[in-house]
Amino acid sequence: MEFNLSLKIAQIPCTLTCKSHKLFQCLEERLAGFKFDNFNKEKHISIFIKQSKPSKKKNVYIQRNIKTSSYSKFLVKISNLNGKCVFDARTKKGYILATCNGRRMTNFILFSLMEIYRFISPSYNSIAIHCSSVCYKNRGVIFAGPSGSGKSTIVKLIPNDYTVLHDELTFIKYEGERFYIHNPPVSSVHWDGLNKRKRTPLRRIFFLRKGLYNKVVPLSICNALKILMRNVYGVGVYPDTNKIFDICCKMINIVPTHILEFSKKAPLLERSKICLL
Amino acid sequence: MSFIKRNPHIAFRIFGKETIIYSSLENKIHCLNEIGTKVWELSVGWVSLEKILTYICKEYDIKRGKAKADILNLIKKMKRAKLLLTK
Repeated sequence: MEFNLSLKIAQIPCTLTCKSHKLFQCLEERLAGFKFDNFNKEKHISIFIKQSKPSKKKNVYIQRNIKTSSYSKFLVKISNLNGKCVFDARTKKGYILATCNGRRMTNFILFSLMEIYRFISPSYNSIAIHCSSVCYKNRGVIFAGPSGSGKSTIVKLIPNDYTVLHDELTFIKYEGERFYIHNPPVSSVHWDGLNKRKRTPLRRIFFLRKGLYNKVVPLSICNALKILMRNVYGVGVYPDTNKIFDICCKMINIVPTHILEFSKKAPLLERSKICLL
Repeated sequence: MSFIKRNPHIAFRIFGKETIIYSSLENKIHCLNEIGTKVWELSVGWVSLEKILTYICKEYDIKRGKAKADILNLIKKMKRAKLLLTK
């Protein structure tokens, strides 16, 4: 017997199929906010999930290995979670084999799902960015930057009337001349806005840079695009990099971008000013 | 090298007077200024250097000798970055 779970992540429909009811229940619980029933089944992504016996090998280090073949297929192996994920962009069909148990198995499935969405998103006018995102009165702001630049810190420090959407990854989708922030299904921390199929219009992009004081610095289009491309997942690795560039260009043209020199030691009053929309 | 043409595998976008070019071969972003943008716009198909030079000198009122040196330098850099094809 097969159990199907229909989802819509970043407006991209997907069906997860698994044979185990226990596995289905587990996924249904974790992905509750993304469940969706009515969509055109011809256009969706189809992923088959299987669980096999845990391997005896104990791997300590995380190794993420993505192999692309003819720019349509990718394979992810994560040694500490034990499993394999294959996805073909042409047929829009994927296969996730989890060889671990319990929470690690669910984490592996969600991680693989996120990889698939990163891989497929440019074909749906969407990009995955390494950034934190917040929402204030239905207006979204993203804070992008390399690891250690303060993405997670800034979302912890912003005033309470802002809703934190995510602190690590955000899907940005181009819909009807506007860009919208969509939540991915996975995060290490459970924020208020997470695990909800909710879209927020993107109004500002801040690129984080460490500084002594909190101040906003203007940015040229060329530099903004260079920094943005550095923070987008899949550039130079996944297919459709030109498509990613095209979406980034549109984004820079529509959404105002700034550099935010950020210091967590700066006074609280200054901190509240930095998030002005 | 007397004719140039854009590399067809390169993605680019013109923002006003600036052009931003993304080379997926080298995973690099290049930014062209106003003159560079004109050269880029002119090099849709195979175009002669003479034609580009005449256009730039007329449009910006620059002496031919100086313009030639600058444009040749720009084209060399763009060729090295695999943005332009030459023959």
